[in-house]
Amino acid sequence: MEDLIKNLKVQLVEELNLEEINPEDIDTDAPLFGEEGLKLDSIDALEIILLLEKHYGLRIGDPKEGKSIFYSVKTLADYITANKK
Amino acid sequence: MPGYIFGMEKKMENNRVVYAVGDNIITSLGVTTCENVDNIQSEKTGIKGCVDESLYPEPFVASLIDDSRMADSPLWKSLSSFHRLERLMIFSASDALAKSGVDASSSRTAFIFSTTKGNVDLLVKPDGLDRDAELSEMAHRVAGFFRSVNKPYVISNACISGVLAVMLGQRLLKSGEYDHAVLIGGDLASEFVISGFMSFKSVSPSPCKPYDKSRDGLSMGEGVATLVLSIDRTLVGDAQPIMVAGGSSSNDANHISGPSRTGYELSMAIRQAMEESGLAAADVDLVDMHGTATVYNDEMESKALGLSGLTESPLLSLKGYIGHTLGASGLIESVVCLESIRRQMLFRTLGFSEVGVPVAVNVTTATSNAKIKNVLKTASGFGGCNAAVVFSTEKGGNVVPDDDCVEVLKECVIKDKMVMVDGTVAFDGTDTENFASFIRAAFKSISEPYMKFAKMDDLCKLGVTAVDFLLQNEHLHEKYGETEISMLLANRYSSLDTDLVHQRIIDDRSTYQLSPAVFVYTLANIVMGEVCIRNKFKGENLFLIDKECDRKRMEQIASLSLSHGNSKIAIVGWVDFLQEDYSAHLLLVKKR
Repeated sequence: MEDLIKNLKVQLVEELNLEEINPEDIDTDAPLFGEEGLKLDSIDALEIILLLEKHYGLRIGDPKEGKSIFYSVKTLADYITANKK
Repeated sequence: MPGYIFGMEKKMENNRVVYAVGDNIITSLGVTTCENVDNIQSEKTGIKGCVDESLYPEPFVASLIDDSRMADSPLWKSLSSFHRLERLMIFSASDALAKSGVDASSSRTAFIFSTTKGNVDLLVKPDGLDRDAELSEMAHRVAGFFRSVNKPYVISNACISGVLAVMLGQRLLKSGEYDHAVLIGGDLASEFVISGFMSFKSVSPSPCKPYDKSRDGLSMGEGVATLVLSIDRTLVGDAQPIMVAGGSSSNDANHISGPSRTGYELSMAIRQAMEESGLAAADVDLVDMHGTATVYNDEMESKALGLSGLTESPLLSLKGYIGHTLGASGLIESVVCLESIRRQMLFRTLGFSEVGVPVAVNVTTATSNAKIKNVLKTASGFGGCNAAVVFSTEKGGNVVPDDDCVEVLKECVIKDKMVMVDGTVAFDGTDTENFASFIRAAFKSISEPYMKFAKMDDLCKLGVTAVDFLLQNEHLHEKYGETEISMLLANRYSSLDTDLVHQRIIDDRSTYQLSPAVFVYTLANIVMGEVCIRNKFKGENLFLIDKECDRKRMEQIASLSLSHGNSKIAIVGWVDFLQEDYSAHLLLVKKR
């Protein structure tokens, strides 16, 4: 789990072009979207869908399904752990 | 200042009225206006299931033009040396011009093009860049076919391009700059755009359902249209002459792909177009909106109608017939609106059955006879842009635009790793390695960290940085309201630099890693969207493509804008980027 979270943070910074952000500074439990934290937006959500497909072979068809999964790095990691084949 | 005095004189003598005098539509539903509208009147859709791996690896739903419909035409045959979009544009404009009686080769006739992607299908060539993919090349070839002697205006402003063409045509004619304008809009359903919209997951698996409860995305379409405008009433063929009575544009300043949450900005464009027309909300017999059938677009439009007091007016979306034809949609749908007036008919919003937008609107559910004198046409698009125009048999509009009334307040130039403001070096980056390191350093030298900056493509980084330098210490918001600040930009390469990135992604069929974060930047006007979001500018938006930085033309466009509605101050100029070849030249201007 530790490794997965660490990798996810690096992948988020790379795939979402978060140049100003140091992966280690991302709070594992903080919201990814909205007015605080990384302030990600709808385009980022689509990019996270791609990231899950590319790095973990997981497919989310409907972006709306992503809402709870994409809440934080922790929820993302939980989803990956639960669904990875 | 002789220019100013001349402008005043024109104002005194003139109340020129702009008439619609000829048109054509080419879509899946036909190759003339009449064929298209006959099919719409009989509620036939041109959207259907398609299997074409050259356009998308999986089956998809779209509205495509059947070129074989024109195959027997001697004109079509004679145009085989032109690229497909150009050929369709020439075919369309030939028909419209013949109906209008306007002399295309006259020095009094302007050509105005609207397109998002032009000949984007040429980018599939792997060996280097085909210059014919440049939008101004396309425009010059088409205008050249008609022996036009004037440099064309090329609007590439996402999905509002077609409505902006009507707006600009009306202004250029009203100002006295020209007497006639040939507006030609076109976009193809290329693999480039289909794959891009797929990456946004905004395409419906079935024909689209505008404003409906169960709507689940748009349908792609391709189309071409021509609308000929003239101040010469003797060229009007209609029993009731139709005039372009008003037009305006705005920016949401909210998000580069998602629409406004309130609809306020679209309602501002509507309000200003209506004010220019001299009509009240109660006079509007039909509103034809963008109505793409994506969840958020339709939602936003209903809110804008609510804010405009237009929820009672019959509301139409034509997307269920011909899909979303991108840069052509505003023109195609405008011409259908003209037919609605001519036929005195309301058309049904195909695909709609139950209202599924937050503000109760009056979506048309049947094709019926109706008294139609005044029509409002709107569009909204990526980059947060909105536009509205008014067609009327009653009013000709009450603004006499001045095409020579600007005063330059400040100037910013970025090129060769230097930023100059009013002729003085504001940042020297000659020691930086490349554009990426230069622009990052330049931006950092003047601005606080901004999360969005790193996500932008290079064109946007250049534009946002140039505006930050231009507006340093200006405090515009202390002097002007957010809807009073406009952005009018131009460049040569449109978004070609990022277009090539998206093209290389779709070239690799083995991975096909479509990226919405790349695709969203494949529109030139996104740079205005980014600037508007960062600076909360909600005024007019217009993005032109030109062969070179034409300061005179940009000042003319700014003058026309500043003569209208709220517009009080504008950022105008040039922002261009292609593979390390870049330059920005911006002016802050206000009305003299």
